[in-house]
Amino acid sequence: MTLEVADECAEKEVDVIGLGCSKESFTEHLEVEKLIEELRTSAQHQTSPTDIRLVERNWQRFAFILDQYQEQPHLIDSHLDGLLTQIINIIREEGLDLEVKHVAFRCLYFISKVRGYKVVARHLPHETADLEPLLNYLENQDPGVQLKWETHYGLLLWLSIVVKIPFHLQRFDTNTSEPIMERILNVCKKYLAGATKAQDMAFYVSAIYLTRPDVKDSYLPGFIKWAHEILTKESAQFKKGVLSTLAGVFKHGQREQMMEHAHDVLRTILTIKFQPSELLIVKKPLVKLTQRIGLIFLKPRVASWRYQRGSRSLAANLQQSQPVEMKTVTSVNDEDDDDYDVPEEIEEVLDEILQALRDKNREVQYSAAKGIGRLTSRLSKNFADQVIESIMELFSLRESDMAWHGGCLSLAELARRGLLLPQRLSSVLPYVEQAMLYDELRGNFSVGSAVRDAACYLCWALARSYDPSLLQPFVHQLAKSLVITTVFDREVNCRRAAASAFQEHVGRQGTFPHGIDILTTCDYFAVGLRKNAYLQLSLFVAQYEEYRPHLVQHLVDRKIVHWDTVIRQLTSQALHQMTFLDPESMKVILSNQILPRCTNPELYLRHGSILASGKVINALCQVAKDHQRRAADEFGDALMESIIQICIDILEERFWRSFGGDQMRVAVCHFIQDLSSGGFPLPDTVVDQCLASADSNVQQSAIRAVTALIGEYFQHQPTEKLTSLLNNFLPEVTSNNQQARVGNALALGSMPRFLLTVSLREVIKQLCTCALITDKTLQWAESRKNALTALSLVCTTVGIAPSSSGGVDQPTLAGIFRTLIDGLEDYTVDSRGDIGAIVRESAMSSIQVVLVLTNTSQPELLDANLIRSVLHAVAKQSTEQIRRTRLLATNVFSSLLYCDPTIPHIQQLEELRSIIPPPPLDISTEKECFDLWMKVMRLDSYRKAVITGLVSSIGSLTESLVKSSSAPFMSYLRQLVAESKLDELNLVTRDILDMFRENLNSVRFMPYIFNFLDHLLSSGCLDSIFKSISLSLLNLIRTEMTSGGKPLKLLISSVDLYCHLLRGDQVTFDKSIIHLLNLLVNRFPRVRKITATKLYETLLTLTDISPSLANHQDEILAILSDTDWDEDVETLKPVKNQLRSLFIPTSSP
Amino acid sequence: MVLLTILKKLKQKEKEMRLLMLGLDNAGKTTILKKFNGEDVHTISPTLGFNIKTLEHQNYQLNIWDVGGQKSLRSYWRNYFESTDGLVWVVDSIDRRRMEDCTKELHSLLQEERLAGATLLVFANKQDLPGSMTADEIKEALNLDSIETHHWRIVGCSAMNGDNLLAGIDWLVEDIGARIFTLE
Repeated sequence: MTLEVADECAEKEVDVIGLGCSKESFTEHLEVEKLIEELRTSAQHQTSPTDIRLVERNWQRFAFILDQYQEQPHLIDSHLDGLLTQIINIIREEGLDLEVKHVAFRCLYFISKVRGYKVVARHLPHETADLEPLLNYLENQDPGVQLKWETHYGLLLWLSIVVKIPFHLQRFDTNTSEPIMERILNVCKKYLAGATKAQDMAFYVSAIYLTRPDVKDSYLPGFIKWAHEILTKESAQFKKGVLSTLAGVFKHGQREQMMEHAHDVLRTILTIKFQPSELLIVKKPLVKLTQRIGLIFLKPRVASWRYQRGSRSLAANLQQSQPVEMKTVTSVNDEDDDDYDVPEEIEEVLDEILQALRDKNREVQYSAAKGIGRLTSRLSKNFADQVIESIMELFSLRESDMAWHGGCLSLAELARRGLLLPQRLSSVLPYVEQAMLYDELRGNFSVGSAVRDAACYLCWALARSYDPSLLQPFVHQLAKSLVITTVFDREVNCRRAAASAFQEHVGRQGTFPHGIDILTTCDYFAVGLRKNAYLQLSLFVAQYEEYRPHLVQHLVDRKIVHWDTVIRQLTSQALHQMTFLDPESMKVILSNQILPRCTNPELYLRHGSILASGKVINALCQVAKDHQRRAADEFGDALMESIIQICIDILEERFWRSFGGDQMRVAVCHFIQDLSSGGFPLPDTVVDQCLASADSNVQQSAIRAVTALIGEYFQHQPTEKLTSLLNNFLPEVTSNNQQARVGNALALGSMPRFLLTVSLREVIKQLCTCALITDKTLQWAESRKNALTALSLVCTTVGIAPSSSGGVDQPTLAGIFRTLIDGLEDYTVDSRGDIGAIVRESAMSSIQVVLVLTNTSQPELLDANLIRSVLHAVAKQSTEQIRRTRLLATNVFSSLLYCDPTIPHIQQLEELRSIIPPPPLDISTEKECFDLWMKVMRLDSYRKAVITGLVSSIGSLTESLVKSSSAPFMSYLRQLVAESKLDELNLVTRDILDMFRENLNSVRFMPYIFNFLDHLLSSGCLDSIFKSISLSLLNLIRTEMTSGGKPLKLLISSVDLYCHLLRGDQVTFDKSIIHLLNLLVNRFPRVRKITATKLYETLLTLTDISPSLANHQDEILAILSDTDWDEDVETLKPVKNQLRSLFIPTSSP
Repeated sequence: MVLLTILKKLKQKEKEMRLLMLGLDNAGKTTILKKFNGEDVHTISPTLGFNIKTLEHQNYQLNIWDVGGQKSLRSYWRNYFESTDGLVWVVDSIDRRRMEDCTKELHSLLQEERLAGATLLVFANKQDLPGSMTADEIKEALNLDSIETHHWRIVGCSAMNGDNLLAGIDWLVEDIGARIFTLE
């Protein structure tokens, strides 16, 4: 049960509260009744397999309806009796099959799951007449048959109410059989061992039964003895059952009467050693039982010493005509306390339960916390104080997170009951503060969010329980801790819990500084996003003097060193922002606390400190700029010196090696970037060192660092220095190492203008070379992608300027365009699939950038050929098989169409604009995209490009894509046929044939073409003109198939095509037959078999065949189907020859 | 989320409900709350802001949140530990001039998803003053009949002398109780 609840909660996350109001009443009761009836009927008539689905659906519906009421079970109450009567009638019905009754029990279980078994039990009939049949039923069931657990559950549930009958049970005994009291006990014992949910019922019944006055005297001592035996030797499940029964017995039984057994049972459970594996199962009932025994020893009373907050009854208050003085009384009448007699067992009980607060299992902890609460309320003040003393011992650094969690829970429980006296607050609160920051690293994860959550709950409970005047001394401490957790906790639940506790304090205490402002800003919703909490909310809170130093100090002490990299990054950003609020004190913190830790041997601390110091220095530089001061003056000599020293230190390679080296490099890159972009005055030697370090692994973070560094420190360097700097990068772009190319290409692209213009031609030449596919770099799509992106970046940085120096001139520009357009033909494939796609996408984006750039500055450099080939290439990409690429291409195409000023030389511009809307396009489905391009295909200039792209979509293997792409194409063709636009149809086929011809021997593309042709020819769209193109098509296929070795797949596809071609004119038919016959003796048996099958199918459906062939058709079909094509090729050759003579009689001898 | 499971159980067991007391400024929210709490109602300054009081009534624990004079109400709808079960909307019955504002505010508040299901009690306050609108008039003015998403009722009352406050709260508590609590 608890597990289920936990799961549900995990699903609904923190929103479990508040769902309790979704329903008004139990509206589906009629449907539920009908469902029970239907389920019964189908069980009765031994359902046929077809009905099983119906049964399953009925169960599902039944469970679904009831589950809706899990949160508001009382709504069912008004119909509960009706439902239960219906179920009980089925169970009572004599002679009914047990399977059918099991159905009824299952329904009963679902209902009690939602409504709670205790309530359901009260509504079940409790007539004495039911006892005997119930017992019989239970005795005949086997608790070991786990599949029937709902039956057991239901029977025991019913028994739990029936055994309450107020007559002495001996009256039911007959002479012949066993006494009924004995029988009930035995049934209970039998089911106590079970490992199903029925066990829960078994110990519930047992406890109720054993506390009956008549049973208690005669059987309880025996049961306890029996329990002792079980506890020493049986399985853990069995022990759990027995312990739970005993716990129930001590709960339900009268205190005085139970006293005599309490001592023995306590001895038993304290002496028995349970295995650690057993404890997982047994611990919870064990703690419960211990607690119940403890309560037996103590007289129930309301602790006279507990803390109470004045009168609170609304109605009474309203009646008072005069306002009353608020009385917050701690009634101090100690006199009756100390003489109160406490049995010594209580010590042992409490000890046991305090131990359980440390348990790994949260349920055990909570059970123990409740136990502590119950017991403490019956203790004397002094004794209770000792208990609290022991709880405080849990808050020690040597204790586990579980102990801390248990401690928070039990303190909250005590506070709620008024048992945590105000005098204790001063010693408790420091621990609360610590618990709210509890975070302990375990390997690569951390524990403690539960502790922090529970600590917030404790704060919340404190706010509700104590008068403002009592909490007044602790307000600052609490406010500080809660605010810190609200904005800086890693976990959303802790942030929300802290925010809620803060709200509660503000509302009830009213003394929190800036309470309302903070709570309305940092509310439940706002703290949901961590980034928002760290960067926006923290800044808001930091504007208040009361909180700012604490926030900063918390970040510096706890979060710079946090184990989560993301938190360390956020911390540095938060510190960056807070620097502006108080630069002076931040300088002190920087020099005293952050900088010295940048070389700390501990990785997290070092990493976090480097990030933080970079950000803070950057902010301080900005502050200096804002005040028009030199950075050096702003920092002061001592600080300047230590910063520079730190730069030198962290660039040392020993920090980069081994574990964490990657992280360190990134951190150092960020550091360099922050210093550079802030304009921090670094000496040249350090700059060179930075450059050397950052450059060694030029990746994303390093690129930003390098560009920032160069932009800041090299601006006014002499040309020689710049040339040598550029020469560091240029050779790397065409290096033999792919990663070097990837990084350096992009780095080059991000360089500032003054560096690029030193040797622009060389830069572009290197990038173009990098973008070229060579044998050695075949697979290096990433480096090509970056090279293409870099080209567009360089063009953007330096601009297009044919005449003036420093711009891209005409020949260079032509080269760039050539490279970019070549990039669109990159179909590199590796184990990840079509990785060329990223190159093509990069090429398209870059083309767009460069084209638009040229068009605005130097439109005369654009010629018609260039524009045509760009648009064709992009159009082709727009209908290819990768969705992302299609969308990008369509967008690029649209941007080019609507470029301002209009790009010259675009063919059929007006028509295009009427079809394609301006960017940004919103095309969500494949269909929309293809429909759009199908319209473009009707324009003569773009038909072939679109068709070429379509081939790879229609010819692809993804069924959904094939469908969505072929449907509009085929319907377009059909429309042409229907409207007799044969000219246009011929143009389409001409383009298809051209495309085929141009791609002959293309290993990559040919399978697409073959698949495409197969779809096209099967569709019948071309039937009207097929005879006119069949021969040229055949020739193309023949050329393709006869040149060099072809893969098996292509061979098989060619069979389909040849078969289609049989429908062509006579010459085509004859030639195709020859090919097919040859394939019948192909060296692959699979090809032979497929050919035979296909040929057979085609011949059967062929309509207009020559009369000579018609004569032989039956014979041919017989041969095709009867021959075993797995035979050796040599034996098949005669068969082939025979077929040949039948097909082409003239050529036979 | 074990803690939350525990809290949910506690809420059932201790029969807690959370009521939000809202309305335009000077409607008398804090006066009503003070009256509930048995405090002196003659010394109330207008900017008390935000107040939570726990009171017992009909065996329920009412956590009443008096939220006044704040720009953003959003922060109070729910938090990690609780959500709102009932709304008490307090209207100043003699302030005819701002009745339109009052209507607008109330209806936009009821749009909030997180308040779905919450029961609405409208207190037409200051009935003891001469020239005040009656509860029926205010019902018309606030267009309460158009509300279908919430259970609602309007009660004319006077915070100063306590008239009808109990009747209103009784109805509210009963309505919420029937909706979210298991009645033994």
